[in-house]
Amino acid sequence: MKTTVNHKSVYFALLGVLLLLSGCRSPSHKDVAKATVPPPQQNVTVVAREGRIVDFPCSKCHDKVVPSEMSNDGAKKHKDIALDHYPGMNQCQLCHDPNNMDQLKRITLEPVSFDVSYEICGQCHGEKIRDWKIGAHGKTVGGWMGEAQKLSCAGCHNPHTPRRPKMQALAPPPFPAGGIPKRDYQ
Amino acid sequence: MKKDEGKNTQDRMGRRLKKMAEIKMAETSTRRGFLKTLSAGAAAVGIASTTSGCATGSMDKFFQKHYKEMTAEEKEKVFARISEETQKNYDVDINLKDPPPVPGARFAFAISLSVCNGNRACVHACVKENNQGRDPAIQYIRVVELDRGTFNLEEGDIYYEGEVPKKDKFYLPMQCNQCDNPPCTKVCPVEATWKGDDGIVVIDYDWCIGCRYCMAACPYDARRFNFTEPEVHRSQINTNQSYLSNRVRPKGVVEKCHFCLHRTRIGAMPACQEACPTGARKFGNIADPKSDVAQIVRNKRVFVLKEELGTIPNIYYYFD
Repeated sequence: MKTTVNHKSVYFALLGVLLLLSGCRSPSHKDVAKATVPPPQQNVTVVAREGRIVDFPCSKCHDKVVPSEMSNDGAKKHKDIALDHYPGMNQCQLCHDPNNMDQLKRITLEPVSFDVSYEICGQCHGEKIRDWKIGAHGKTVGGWMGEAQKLSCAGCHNPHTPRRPKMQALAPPPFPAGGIPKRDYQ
Repeated sequence: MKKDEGKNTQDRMGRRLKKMAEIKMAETSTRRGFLKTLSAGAAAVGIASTTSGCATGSMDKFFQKHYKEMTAEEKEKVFARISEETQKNYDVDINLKDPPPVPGARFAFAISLSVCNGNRACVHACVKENNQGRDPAIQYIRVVELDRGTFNLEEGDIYYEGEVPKKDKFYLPMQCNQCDNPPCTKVCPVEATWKGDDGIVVIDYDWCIGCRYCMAACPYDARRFNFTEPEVHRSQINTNQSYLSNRVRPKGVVEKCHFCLHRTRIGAMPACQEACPTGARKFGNIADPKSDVAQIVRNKRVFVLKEELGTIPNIYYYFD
């Protein structure tokens, strides 16, 4: 009786060893991700905004702006600005500094350059700015190795009307000849 | 616009009929010639005619070594032959190279499904970059339109049209996942497809015999077969070509996405990433912990397609 039990356990042990051996053959993440050479680096810089804004600096025209001129229903002199950011968000002074038009300002009144305008957006859109900083949101141009430029929020979204417009989809793949459209067999 | 399209299709039909007639004529003439030599009973003459009929180029191609066993000089010779062939067939001067994998690089994609709006800019940029046949159209990327709240790829639609994004839909672009445990390379009977050191699964089009085992093995429908000679107009050929990636394919071989290796192996981004107007595609070196993709995989809730198959894909999807 005792001997048969021993035999069984030996068989099981052998089976286990075989399973282990076969399991070893399939590669895992650890094996493939092992890099022997230091990886090539990517150097990402954020695209500066100040050179890209038309008619910047604003002090070219506005030597001073009286705070009362920044009306709450959108700028009267900038006809192209249609303020559609969020219901109730219609005060220029929330982001623009009436005393220095060449700069933005935080809600806490600290001045912020246009080059780091994402700091202004990040005051409310904290989740998005976190994603943008790790590269999960936004567009990067350049190479995966070497120099690359990251667009800031205003590079894609107009800060005054941030919603992206709908697009027209390009041509679909040709439908297979003799194929049955999905709606017909469902 | 519509009228022009109609005219184009008519033109294409005309050209197609002409080509078919030509092929038929050529077939009959060779068959007749073959019968003639047979009736003459001179086998030696037959052999002589076949060898002289073969250009030296195709003989070189026939006796070509496997790509991994070629020396640099042999590769140069092959590149010269292919350039000459393209010059002859398409009247285009190409710049054919084959950059080796960058040491220390492991390529991966991360695609944000919240941002992708299904505009198919990537699909068409890919076709332009990689000289795919236009008729029948071969496209590496499939964008699947799915209902929000569902995730059954079989219920998805890849033939959607019109204004995107549609209400209550999301879009999932699919292409070759460059798996770390690829089923397709294992089934190839001639080892015409293998995994490069940077993670890209490549195909040697000169070595492929067209058995399409790899297409059956791929669980992601990533591979395409050239049933006909790829039809690319000479004005649309991208002259920046590479042996293992986007050179104009011969008839009867399998092709697929190769992460634009002629660009990525010299440090550039793939064409689809560059073309994406939404910024949904993130490409980078996952071995570099500071790269976008590595940070996304660490910080976001990512998933891969058909994880249960153990293929270990290199395209990560996430919502944010």
